[in-house]
Amino acid sequence: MAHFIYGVAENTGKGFFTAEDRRKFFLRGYPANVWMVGNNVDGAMWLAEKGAREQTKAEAQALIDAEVTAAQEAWDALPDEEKAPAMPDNQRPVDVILP
Amino acid sequence: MATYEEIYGKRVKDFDSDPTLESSYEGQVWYDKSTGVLKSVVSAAAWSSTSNMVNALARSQGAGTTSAGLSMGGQDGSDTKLTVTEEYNGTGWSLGGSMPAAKSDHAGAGTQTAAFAAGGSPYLNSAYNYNGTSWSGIPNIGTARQKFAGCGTTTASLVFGAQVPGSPPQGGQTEEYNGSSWSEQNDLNTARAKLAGCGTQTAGLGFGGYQPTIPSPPKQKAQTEQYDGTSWSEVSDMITATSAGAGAGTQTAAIAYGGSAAPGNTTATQDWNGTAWTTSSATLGTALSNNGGAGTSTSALSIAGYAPSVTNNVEEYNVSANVITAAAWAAGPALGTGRYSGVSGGTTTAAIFAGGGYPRDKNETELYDGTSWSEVNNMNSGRGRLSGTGTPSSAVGAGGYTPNSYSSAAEQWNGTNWSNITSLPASRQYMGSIGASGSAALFIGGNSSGSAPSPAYQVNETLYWNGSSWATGGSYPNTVWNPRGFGTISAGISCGGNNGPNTSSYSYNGSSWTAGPSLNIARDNCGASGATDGDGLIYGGGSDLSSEKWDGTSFATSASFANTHNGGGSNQNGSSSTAMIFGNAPNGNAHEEFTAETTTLNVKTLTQS
Repeated sequence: MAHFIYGVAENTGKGFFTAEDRRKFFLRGYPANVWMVGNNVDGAMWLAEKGAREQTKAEAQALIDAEVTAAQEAWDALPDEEKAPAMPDNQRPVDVILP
Repeated sequence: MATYEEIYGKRVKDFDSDPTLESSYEGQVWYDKSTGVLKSVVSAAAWSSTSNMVNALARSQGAGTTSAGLSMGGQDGSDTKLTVTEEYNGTGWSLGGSMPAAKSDHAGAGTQTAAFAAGGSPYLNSAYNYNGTSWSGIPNIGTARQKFAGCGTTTASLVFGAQVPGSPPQGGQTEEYNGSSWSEQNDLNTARAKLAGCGTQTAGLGFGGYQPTIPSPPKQKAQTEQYDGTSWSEVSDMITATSAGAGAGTQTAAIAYGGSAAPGNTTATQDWNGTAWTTSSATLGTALSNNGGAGTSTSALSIAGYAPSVTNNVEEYNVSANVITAAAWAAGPALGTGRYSGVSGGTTTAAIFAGGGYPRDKNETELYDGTSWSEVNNMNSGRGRLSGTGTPSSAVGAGGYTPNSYSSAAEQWNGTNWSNITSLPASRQYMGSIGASGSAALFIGGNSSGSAPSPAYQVNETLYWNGSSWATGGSYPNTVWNPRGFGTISAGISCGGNNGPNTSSYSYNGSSWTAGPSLNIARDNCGASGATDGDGLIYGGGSDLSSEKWDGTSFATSASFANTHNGGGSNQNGSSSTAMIFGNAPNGNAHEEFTAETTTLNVKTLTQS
């Protein structure tokens, strides 16, 4: 059985995930509103309560890739001086790979 | 086997049920006779989502606490520097006074009512103080720079680290401000930019950062330094080298969270106890960098940032014995007849929705008893774009639009039937309304004529229905249609409205209107709940899903609902903690109810495992 399940839901703010949720099951947000949660009753219930569109891992990864690629392309379009190595943290967004 | 008393010299009390608890009970143990288990109040650390900011941004600075937080400046997704200030009240965000000039990647610290912001991109030396309402200039810092850190107060400030033009681009420059001037101090031992900091001017802490002369990769720094008011001394390194992260706390109790930790953004939280760092079991929900920080080592905010695009998401960290259940909207029973812009009012246990809808203009009346909607006697004439308020036992509706014309007709509900009453002085649609009965209500603005809602045809009239006739009240400050109100006819609040959704709010004292604070989000055709003018919730409108709490002084963002409710009805006689919205243009029947935030203790059953 897979360790995680994936869904797409917009973070609506307060109450979207609570401290109690964090204690009950694994939860991690990714670009493109992708959420990876523990493959258990609590995680599945949370995805359902948020009206999340459940995705396979490959589908979720594709959504993440699309958003990261867009961010990378935006970075690539910056003037060279903005991309200079000496500019701290103005680094090209890195690929995000689901574990 | 030894007993608990033999080991600890104390007995475990037993109770028939959980005792009345408060957080000071943390760590105490009792025996619950009803369930036959040992229980205790325990604390735990966790990050949870909290209300989103009004603006999506990164590279801002945070200040204050989790109940009175502040975000200063930053930049948006197109890298435009911002003057925006947002204030957090523990529940939601609202706009504060704008900075005199845009800043991002600056240093800053303080409280919500006394904060400073200094330097910033592109290599600024300007500095400002915030007093909770507005910003004012203070002397410039000595070294123009960006991507550095700050701590302290407005009268005892400390800034350190630097990204400066020229070579080397990263520095350790440190300056103190005493309330009247900045003075150069001893540099950090490790030159760097994009570090985090916390503490005070005489007990500061700087950690992490970026220095690309380190063999690549990584370029992130793990060094931690303490400032004693005179010089910096290096102490234990962070567990994970991080730059562009946030920090909160003091020199002896701090946390570092988020940021860039090769190869990418991190969710990690690291705890500092004054001597060493440890990695916390609590992680941010989403990895991000360039987030703002505020609060303490046990109660902190992670404010927006890059994830990797700019976000307005905010997370709150708490080490607490309390379990906080956030305010939330949940689905309620659907209306029998889907529609919008009807007569609505009441409470979450006794509400009414009548008329409204388009294109088939409705005359149905439905009552809600807290469990389900039931249809009762129809209005005498069906029409859409209707206005009105009341309760299941007494309501009034007026104006509207029939398939062929504007209407001046008015009807009153006595709990059983609708009866025609004196017509409005003029045909009108899309008025706002305030009141809790069919014999005392205000009707505000609306469209007077014309083929479509248009500023050319909207009015600023306030009409008062006293149960037998119409009178003219004080003029609304501007022409308006589709505002929403709550409170009473002599102490009411009216917000938003068309002519493009807007953020205006006005209070009414029974005879005249006075301008109030702005909504955070422009709204029209929205919902509103509040029996008084000192407490209310305003929500939705158009395609917006958000809500804002009114505490009698200002509006702050709150929980969002799931479905659009454009022109939905609402329980006007509710409150900031008891609200509901139902219907949606043109014929939606969804119903959602609001539950306010609650706090309970984290009581755990003790087991041997």
